Amino acid sequence: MRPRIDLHLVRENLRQLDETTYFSEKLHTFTKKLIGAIDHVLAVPSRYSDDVVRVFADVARISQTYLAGSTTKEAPYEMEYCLRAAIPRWTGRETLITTALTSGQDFHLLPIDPWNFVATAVSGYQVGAYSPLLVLIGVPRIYRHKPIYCIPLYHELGHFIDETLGVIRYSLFVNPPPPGYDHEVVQSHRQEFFADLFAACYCGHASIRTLQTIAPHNPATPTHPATADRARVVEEFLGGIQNDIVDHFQSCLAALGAPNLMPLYSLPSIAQSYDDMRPFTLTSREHLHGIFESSWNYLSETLDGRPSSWAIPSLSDGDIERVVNDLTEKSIRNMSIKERWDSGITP
Amino acid sequence: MELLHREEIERRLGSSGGQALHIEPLLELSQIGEVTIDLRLGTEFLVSILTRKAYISVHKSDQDYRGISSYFRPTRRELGDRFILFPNQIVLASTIEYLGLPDDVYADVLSRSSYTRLGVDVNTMVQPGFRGCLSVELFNHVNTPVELVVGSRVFQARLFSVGRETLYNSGPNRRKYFGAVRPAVSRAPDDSDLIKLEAIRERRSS
Amino acid sequence: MLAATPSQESRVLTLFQLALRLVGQSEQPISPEMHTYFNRVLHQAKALNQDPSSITGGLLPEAIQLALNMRELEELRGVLSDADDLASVSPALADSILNNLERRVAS
Repeated sequence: MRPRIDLHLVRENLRQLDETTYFSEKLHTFTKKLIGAIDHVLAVPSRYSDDVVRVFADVARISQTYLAGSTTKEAPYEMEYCLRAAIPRWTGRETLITTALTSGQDFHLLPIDPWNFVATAVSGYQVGAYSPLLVLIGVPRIYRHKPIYCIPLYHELGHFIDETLGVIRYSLFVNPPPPGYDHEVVQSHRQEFFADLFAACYCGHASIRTLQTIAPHNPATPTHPATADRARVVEEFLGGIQNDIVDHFQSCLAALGAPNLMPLYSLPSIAQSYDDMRPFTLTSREHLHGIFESSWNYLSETLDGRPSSWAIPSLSDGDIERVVNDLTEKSIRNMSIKERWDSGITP
Repeated sequence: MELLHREEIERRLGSSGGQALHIEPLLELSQIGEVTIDLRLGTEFLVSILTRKAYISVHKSDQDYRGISSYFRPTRRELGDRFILFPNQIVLASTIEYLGLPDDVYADVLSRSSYTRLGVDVNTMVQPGFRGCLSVELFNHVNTPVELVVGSRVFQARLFSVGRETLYNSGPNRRKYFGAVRPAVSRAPDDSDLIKLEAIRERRSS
Repeated sequence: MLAATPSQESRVLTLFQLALRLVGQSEQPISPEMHTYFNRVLHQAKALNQDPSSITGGLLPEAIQLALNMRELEELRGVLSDADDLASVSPALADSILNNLERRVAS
């Protein structure tokens, strides 16, 4: 396929997306500017080499795929809100989030940065200071209204931050695998440990409880450390117990000029509200992230028979789960609504 | 029965226990009127869609029965987004506010007159002790599409004290729509009376 | 799949490799921005290899990856030592660097 034809096809798809009424203003701007860059490249065939056009077509196609995922109008905005609250600590880049509901069970968080490429290789098109990252969040459809079950997104965010900063690459450079160890396995395992610790900074113990629920007895594999080892590292980190893996990551982050890993949450006392079947009023970022562990604990306790005014004996586990997840979703939603309302311009 | 006035509404908003009134989020205090509370159009919608079925059946025993949710398509909007309500279209929406009614108070919820005059009519009742975002059935009675803005004050509630506490949350039979945070489709097919009525019909025709 | 898709490792060096591919293509001059980018990645990678503590903050992930590749592949280290910046890279040297980068990914 000739690169320019690929770019034509991507542009047509982007134009259709731009005509949708469902995009936020920021996504419209992103789309328009990307179309503008493609117009510029295609306007004069000899302006850029086939190599440049080929790579740009690839970058633009991925961007278009990610943008298309945001038109479903079923996205879990609550999770987007939580992740958007976490990102600025780690990168100064503006980040636009789109969400795709998937039919599988995996979560993913995939970034694409067309503007670095455009600024460097398509320099005839002026982007100025415009450089937001585009991130696609993949959430299993069955979990779209289940924020407690979307805790793995924080783990995926950890992978994204690792890739953005180069944490594990730097780790491998300053602390190479010992002789006889498979480089790729060591790399994968370190990536997973880092992502686990990153998630724990926000979701506390709930991050590892999620893993223990999904994969309680998993041994080490080429791609993932054993669940028991992962749990131990996170528990020691949260408990303030010295751990070589944590210390190593902290030194890597310091060398990269990045913030360190530390608990960035506090646990809101949701019981009184949830017992009365009401959402909790969140008033801080720390409580926003902490609600995941609080809700996880509340759900576990209620399933185990903790009494409340609404958890009557005839209620099924499914009903209990639905109520707790809905109260958590609404708690987050209310915080985001109030934030938007307060930021609106008063006439 | 007594219609709650502003002073009583504000007193209950600040109290705790079974007589407390909860509205979360209450974005503006001005939503509390002398005898009403303005409620805002929420972010979630269930839009009715045409299917090949000739009618919506509420009998689960019907061979061709399809779940009620199959007649609706979910969609979400953000605060400030527009939502178009087409003529003769039923859309299930909800309030932004999560209501916690006192055990001794029920509410009548109607469309505010500004919207009733546009042909958007809402009239529903909320049981004492209710917990959840109120599901409302939006219907456009006129022949022109009407634009609604998510977050605008489309509804108003009048609260009535019934003089005694009820058992919404702690009764033996759980409510169908308790704790809802988004609009829910009808659960009419779950009515236990329908099974009895079906048996009566079959006995009569046999 | 018809063709292999780039690994995470090779994707981070896409722009760096593209700069090398553009060397020797006389139709279009390489932009100043591309020169700046390539030189920054190259210099950071070399500095990292010489003394990891010399750079704190502002390290590009692609520079770290290149430094890793250089440490693992002696030949890559060798050919890159002949490159001071993009302007000094000849088409033959560019080919050699690219071949060695691709060998590293394939290994």
